[in-house]
Amino acid sequence: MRKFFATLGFLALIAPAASARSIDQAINDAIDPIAQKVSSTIFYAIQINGVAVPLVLIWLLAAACVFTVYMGFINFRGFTQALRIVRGDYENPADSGEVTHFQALSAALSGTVGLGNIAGVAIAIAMGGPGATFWMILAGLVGMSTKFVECTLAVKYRRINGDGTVSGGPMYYLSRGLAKRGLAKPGKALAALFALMTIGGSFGGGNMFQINQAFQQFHDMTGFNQGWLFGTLFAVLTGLVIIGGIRSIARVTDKLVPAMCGIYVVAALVILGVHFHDIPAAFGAILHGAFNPDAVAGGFVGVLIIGFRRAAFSNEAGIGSAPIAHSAVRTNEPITEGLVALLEPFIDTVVVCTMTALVIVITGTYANGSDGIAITSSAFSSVIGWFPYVLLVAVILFAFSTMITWSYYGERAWTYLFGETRRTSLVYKSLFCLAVVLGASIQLSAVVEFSDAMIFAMAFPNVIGLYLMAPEVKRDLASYLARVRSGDIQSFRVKSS
Amino acid sequence: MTAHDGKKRLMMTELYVIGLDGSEAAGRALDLAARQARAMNASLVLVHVIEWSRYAIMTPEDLAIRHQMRETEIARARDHIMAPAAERLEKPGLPPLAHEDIIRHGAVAPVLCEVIEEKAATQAFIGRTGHSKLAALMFGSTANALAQACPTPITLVP
Repeated sequence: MRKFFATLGFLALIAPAASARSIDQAINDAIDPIAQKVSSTIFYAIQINGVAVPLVLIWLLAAACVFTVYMGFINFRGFTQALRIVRGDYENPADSGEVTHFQALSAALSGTVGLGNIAGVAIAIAMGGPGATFWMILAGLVGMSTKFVECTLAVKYRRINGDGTVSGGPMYYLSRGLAKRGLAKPGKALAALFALMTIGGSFGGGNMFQINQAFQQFHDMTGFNQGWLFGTLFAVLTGLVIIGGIRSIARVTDKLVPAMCGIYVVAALVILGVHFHDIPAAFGAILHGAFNPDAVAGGFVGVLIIGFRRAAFSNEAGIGSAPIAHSAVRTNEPITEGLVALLEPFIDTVVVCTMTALVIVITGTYANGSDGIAITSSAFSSVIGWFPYVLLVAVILFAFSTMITWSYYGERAWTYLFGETRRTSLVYKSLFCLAVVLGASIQLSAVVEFSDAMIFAMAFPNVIGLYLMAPEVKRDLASYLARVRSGDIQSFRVKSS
Repeated sequence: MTAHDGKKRLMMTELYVIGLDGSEAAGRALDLAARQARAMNASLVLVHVIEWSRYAIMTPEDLAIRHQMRETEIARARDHIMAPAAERLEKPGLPPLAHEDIIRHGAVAPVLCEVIEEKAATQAFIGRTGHSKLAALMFGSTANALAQACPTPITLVP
């Protein structure tokens, strides 16, 4: 711990003497080739109609469509029941003080709602035009079914440790769930592979992408260009929370994040209100762009791929990250948490991402030549001039809360592989903080490629497990819904007389 | 209310709910309730509410340890609030007062009202001020909330 802070202190001391650009450039030159190699492996593409389609995207999308149909369109059927569960209708008052469905949902959302909703959408529309929004919404809707399956399994196969703490997520449902089906060895192998990919994902999308985009916004607003110093500052803050145990910082952030979400949504509604007459045209542009893209490389399939990719990166359905958070909920019915979890892609993609997309399309800023979050920033500032400052605070808070959440996911995966000791945990957390510095220093494109690749890699082992265990989820769902209808599942909702 | 109704009320089983938060005022509320309970042959229910909201936003790490934390909070309440309260009730030379201890998570005023209704209490006792006068000034006090919402006669003890 002391060595870690001493190193950071030394770096801060030599900051004035060193040239900021050359440090950033040196780090970038070192990382870029590795990032390229990794992403080209994971995004291995096949040619469809002259367009390179990454296999991993087909993998995720096929799973989402299969689960949607197999579970009888649970993403629509289960929506109102999900709202009732989140509201607390089925929570026994004797269990007050335990983890509620709302808390599990919001903890998982703190990891998913973030830069993907603000910067990712902007990237998608800049690359694919307004039509990408349509495919993004569609991917969000079908992704709800995948989230349902994986979070049901997360609760079903979680491990309650001797001290009462909960360990759950794909590592556990892949190893324990598949063992039940006589596939113990493959299950363990898949679990280990998943854990490895999660560690990568936690460094990529859960860390470097977040801090990179936060820094870009900070740089655009203030002109401050010493990325590695910005990263070091956040590395220290992150270290204080995850290593130093000063959880109060994380708790303050977690209270501010929903407030910022609310402000963001309200601001988006204001802009849509101001441009009320342009909304039909914006929807027209989205639908037209979805099926008749003009100047987009790759045409129709290209736009589709871009939209799906951003949705998958944003709502993480099928990736296997959210199940780790959802597994801690207090319930005897795993299906209830699956139903609650299907609200996540809805809130994340169908609501928040769509709002961002509409604002960008209506204001037309996607064609102004900037990149990433700069597009979103200029879109909002066209109506609310001071909003970029609010966006800066929001981006930094979202980035920080996503990083804290993913540091937990990565730490769980790391300790699953290397043993649950304080020493192994500390090694991971130190590496995580180092990655914060790296993420602020390197160029956007390298960060995006690497981040995407690592997150998507988690989907390979996770979805295999979901396919194998989907039949038992379907049986459990049928049983649960029958018992809800018959009144066997007790509702604790106090009816006002 | 007629005199006849008043007599009927006296014949009901007297049950007092006392809200405890470890403050001195709560201790005095307990003493008053105990004196009245001995006179009226009433039974006592001691309640401590651990502040908790089902909507409190937490990190995934907090979720994983929540059950363990809950157990710790309940054990701490038992040791630092209920046990001293039980000791305070014992008066040498006087018969022991039977009491039920309840520890629950939630918002203080609503949970106290819930317990009062569950137990069909005939009276409630709480300290008029909790630990932080400043917090009470800024955010309103449990005592004020209960004075308005309590379903049974309530005594606020300074």
